[in-house]
Amino acid sequence: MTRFALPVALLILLEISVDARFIPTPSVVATGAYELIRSGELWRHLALTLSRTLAGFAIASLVGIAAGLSLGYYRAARLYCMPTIEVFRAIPGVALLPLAVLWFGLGSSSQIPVIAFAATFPVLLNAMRGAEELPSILVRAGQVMELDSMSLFRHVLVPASVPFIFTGLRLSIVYALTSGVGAEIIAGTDGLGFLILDYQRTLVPEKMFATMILVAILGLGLSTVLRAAEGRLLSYRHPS
Amino acid sequence: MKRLLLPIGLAILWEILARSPLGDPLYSPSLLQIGTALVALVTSGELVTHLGASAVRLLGGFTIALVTAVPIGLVLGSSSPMKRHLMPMLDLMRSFPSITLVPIAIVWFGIGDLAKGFLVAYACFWPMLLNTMTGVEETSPVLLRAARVMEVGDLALFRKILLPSALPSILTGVRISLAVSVIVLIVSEMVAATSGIGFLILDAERNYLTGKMFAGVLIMGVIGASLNALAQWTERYLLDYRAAA
Amino acid sequence: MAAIELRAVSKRFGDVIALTDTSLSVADGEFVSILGPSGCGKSTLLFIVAGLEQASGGEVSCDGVPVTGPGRERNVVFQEYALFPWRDVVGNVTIGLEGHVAAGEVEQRARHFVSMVGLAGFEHHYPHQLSGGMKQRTALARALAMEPKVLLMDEPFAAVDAQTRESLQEELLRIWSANRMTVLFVTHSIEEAIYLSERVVVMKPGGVKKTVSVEETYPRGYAFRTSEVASSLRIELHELLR
Repeated sequence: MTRFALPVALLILLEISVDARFIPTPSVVATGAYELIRSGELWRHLALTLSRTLAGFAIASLVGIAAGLSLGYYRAARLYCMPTIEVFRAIPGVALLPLAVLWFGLGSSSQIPVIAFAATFPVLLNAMRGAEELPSILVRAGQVMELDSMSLFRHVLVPASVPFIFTGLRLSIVYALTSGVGAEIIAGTDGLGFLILDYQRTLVPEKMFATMILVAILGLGLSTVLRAAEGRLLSYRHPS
Repeated sequence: MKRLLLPIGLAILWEILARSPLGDPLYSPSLLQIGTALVALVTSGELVTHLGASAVRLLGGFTIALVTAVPIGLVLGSSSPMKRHLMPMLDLMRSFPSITLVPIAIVWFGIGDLAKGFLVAYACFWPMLLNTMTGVEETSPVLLRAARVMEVGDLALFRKILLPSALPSILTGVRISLAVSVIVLIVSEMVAATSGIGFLILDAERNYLTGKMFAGVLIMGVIGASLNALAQWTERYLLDYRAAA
Repeated sequence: MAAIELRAVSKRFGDVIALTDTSLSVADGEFVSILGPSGCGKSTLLFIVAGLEQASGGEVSCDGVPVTGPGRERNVVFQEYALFPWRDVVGNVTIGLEGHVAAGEVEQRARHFVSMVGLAGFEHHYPHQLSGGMKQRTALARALAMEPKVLLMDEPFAAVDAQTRESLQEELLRIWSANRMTVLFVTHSIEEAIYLSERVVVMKPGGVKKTVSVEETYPRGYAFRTSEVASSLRIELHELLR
């Protein structure tokens, strides 16, 4: 119990000492959250942010896993592609938002590509490492059993890379949400990111803080789901 | 040579598309347009201004995070009572995605360098802190016992044992924090700024200077890739002793 | 016809010469050990027979058929077990059977070989839940389940403790006596080579130094390990390895 003493004390201190327009005090955040939920304006924005993030993340996962495993398995492909990938990877997704808006217009149609771009690289690089670091002894074991290349891919390469892929996915979901909210802040007309900026501009700090906390909860929720999926898929590593 | 094959191929493909009836100078500028914009950016000194502004914010914020997060992480990681008391609060604070702080940073610090520096520092602080703590926690107890036998003092323990053994983990934290902080920096430069590489890109788009916008994005990629290479090199240099094993 | 036949085999890795002009013939059903210090090329020789490495020169054949790559009639038990960590004991055995044995029989056959190596009751344990000895039993079951004519073993018991090693050796001899496949067994342990094999091929860096026969009938009990015959062989082999 003592471990909650300090945070609770701090929250009480916050509550009584600071200006609620600048620093979120517990009572202000609670009021904001209550108002947001009661008015119902929140759900539409939450649904939009969540669907954009998940759509971009889904595209990124498919592209990242496929490209990453192939690049990891074929040394030659790495040689040709890596320098170019390094340059693309260094471009933060949100830096491409103006371009995406120019090409695809405002809203989800430009935000999803930006999210997908940002989220592709972590999973790609980790899947690549997984395939690259595939223990050669397992390949040899597969070879003496005369597994064909399809079975070798399905029964050896993919399962051996799954732990690496999940490391990438956990990073990717953070990039996806960060880029999605960032894109909504820069040029959004809806979504949680837009909401935060809008409440700041229209001077409604209690709702702004409440929305910020909602984004935090969303991030934690998405990471938790991924972690649970990982735990199930990799249960063979833990004593049952 | 092989490394250049793909970029050259992509460039040729791009040029063909840009010059075909499908292309439109407004949406897909030719390489010539992009190149011209790039040269203009360099010769006018505009590039230096914006790159410089972004670099100051990034380096400033990063340094502040580094000199605070690493010592705090070393202490917290090695003291379990402190960790027990502070962790719930730290968990609460780090779960705030730094991106959501962009609007409030304007309220707190205005639209200048201070706000951006704060955002970068905040984004960098958490990954560095947590990775430092992990690194310390994973220090082999055998090493600590050996140090105790040799009567290594408290300060020397931090400097000579905990820091080096946490170093690989700290460097991982550095890499993650740089990636996230660049996103936050670009967003904040696009929302409210008059300088910086994010501003440059958005401003070019708003004025339909597509060639300039592409040049900005490209510069960003090349600089970022060079920085990554530098970070990798540093990491290899610092952790060079591991290669021998 | 010899089960394994190497004629003037050589192997280079870049500038490093691993084997030169090495010849060896192993009869059908014979148990032969290859004994030598580390780095003498004994594992390379084994992998060449397995088809995992290509000889730089010379000829390798099994039952008169030239070896060009890995084949199901030759199976390998690796020192590092090489188990798939995401498959349980039975799953590791079935992987080589899937698509080669009628689908309905795969599981049953795998279980048969799992109990043959003494792992009945551990069918659904994952590799990380097994001791080193049990891992190697699983790897042995996996190799045996494919019913190879030739079993190639690369220092299979080097990573387990002494007691486990002895019981694994006895187990291996029991299975070999019942099935009579050809075994080529790489080891750096003199005792192990004497206890297990009919012939010991002593290697020096780059090739074969001498072949020594072990004149002792099977089954070999524990007493054989400390017998006069074994002791004098031990001295002879020790001298050869110096």
